[in-house]
Amino acid sequence: MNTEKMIEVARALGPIEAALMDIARSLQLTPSMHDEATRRYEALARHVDRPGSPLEGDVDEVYPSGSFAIHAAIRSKIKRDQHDVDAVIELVIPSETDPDLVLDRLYGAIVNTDDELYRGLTVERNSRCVTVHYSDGVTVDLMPVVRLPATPERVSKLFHHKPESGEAYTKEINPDGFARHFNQTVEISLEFARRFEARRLLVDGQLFASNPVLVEKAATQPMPEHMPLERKSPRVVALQLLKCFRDKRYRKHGDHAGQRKPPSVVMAALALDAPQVGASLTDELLTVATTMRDAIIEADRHGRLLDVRNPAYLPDQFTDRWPEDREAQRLWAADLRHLVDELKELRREGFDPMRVKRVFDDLFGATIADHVLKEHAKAQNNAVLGGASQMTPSGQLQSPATSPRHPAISGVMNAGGLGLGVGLITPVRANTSMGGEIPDG
Amino acid sequence: MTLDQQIEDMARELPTWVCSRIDDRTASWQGTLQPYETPHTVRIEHSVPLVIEYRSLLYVQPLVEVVEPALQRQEDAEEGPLPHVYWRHPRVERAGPFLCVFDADAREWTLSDPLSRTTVPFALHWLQSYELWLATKKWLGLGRHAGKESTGANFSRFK
Repeated sequence: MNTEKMIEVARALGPIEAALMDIARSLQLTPSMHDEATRRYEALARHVDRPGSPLEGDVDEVYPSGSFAIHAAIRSKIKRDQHDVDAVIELVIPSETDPDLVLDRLYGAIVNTDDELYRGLTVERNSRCVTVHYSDGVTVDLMPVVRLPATPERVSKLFHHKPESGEAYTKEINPDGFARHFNQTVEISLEFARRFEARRLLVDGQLFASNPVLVEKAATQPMPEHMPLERKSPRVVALQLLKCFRDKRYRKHGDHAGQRKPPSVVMAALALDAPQVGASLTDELLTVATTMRDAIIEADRHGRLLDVRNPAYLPDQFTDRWPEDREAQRLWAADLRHLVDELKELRREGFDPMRVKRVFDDLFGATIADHVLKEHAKAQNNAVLGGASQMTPSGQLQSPATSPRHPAISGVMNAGGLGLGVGLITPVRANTSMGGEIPDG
Repeated sequence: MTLDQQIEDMARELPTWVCSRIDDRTASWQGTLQPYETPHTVRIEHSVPLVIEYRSLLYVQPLVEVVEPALQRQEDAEEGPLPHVYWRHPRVERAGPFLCVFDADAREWTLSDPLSRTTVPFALHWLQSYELWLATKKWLGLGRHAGKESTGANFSRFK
């Protein structure tokens, strides 16, 4: 696709769609973050399997699970490279082994070491996994499982033990089966990729450069381990935004204090039930959120708790720990409704910076709200410098960073060239706002 | 451009703007600019200097003022309570703020330019940056303070 068409694609996005795209871009793990995370859980598995370890020779395999396996992992802090990685470590031990013993051994295998790599790290023994906190803020959740014979591929048993209550049990799961099912089910969209690419080029200033770096035919290439945003399914990107919204809600809002948040895997499974909606990220997000909420409302109407199962292995119930009660599911349903209402209202009202700041601060946090406005300004500055920021005779702005805002005049756009519209005023040159004193002469 | 040429050009390009002829060399225009959802009434006063006068571009620049809604101050903002304005201008006795909409060193505006394609869209861009500044307390638009490096993107098809 040539640059002029890309400018038209960027222009047609609408500022709220563009804002959600900018948020999505900021949430992505970089290839190096992805590679480092992979290296870490693989090294952890080798460390657990080392001679002298309580689990020496017991490690069969380690593989990513959760959001990492479905390319939906997000940065937990936008300004830093913090993110969480879930990995399954398959052990060759009797499946009847006491859960507390399995978790204690895994914990001991990591902490009781002379290896400088692991000394001094904070390691937590949780009820189903051991969490390793690295000094750069990345955490790896290592969940020990045992593969079950005579079951579908990679069906395993996890070990649950809570020392404080003594609660202990095992549970059949198939996280790898779910990841494969999810990745095969979600559809990628070339149009979606093209829209993201156009927005990226506009914000990065390449759209008006002489040699923009375009990503062509990305979706026809083999799926890489680290999937760039342009190649992700709209469903996955919507899921990432929803996770960001959830994390902010359960971290910052007083009425969520102490509440367990809806697990990512429950959200991912429900997202698969949403109908296909096309290439708009806003529509995708609204549809996934509405589907999720409808499922909760339906269960609640019948006096039940939400029951979500692993479509790749139905005995694996994803909702075994959340929602704990109907209040918990109602809280999340109300959150989802709030998200949908706010986004619809914002889209209807247009892009007012103060309102955008307030709404995005509420939905995603102050850092992201600021990021949205900064990216918006970058896109607009590039449009000004590129000669693509125009004015209507009635004094409204028309540029790839802000259109379409005024439907009544959108019909006069796209007269060719840089998308310069008929009847629009194009400045003779870019302008820079100055500051200082005026000389007297 | 002569004042008559400016008046003619403005009437053709921006027919809703109201022009007032102040004297032989000076006119003002008032109209609406709306970068986002809020319409701003803006007044532009332009005075064409005598040919024999030598004045700097900053001195002869059109004076751009926001009539309503009044520009807001944010006392705790990093770049001052209202950045990129001149609080006074030696050509007039009334107080500002007058918008600083162009870089004179870069000759982004000259006396040969039509206001309709410089000062007016420049003011629109200024108002856009101002609205973003109101929300973030940071001047995110293209900007420069005298003697300092410019901010914003570093590519321009005009330069």
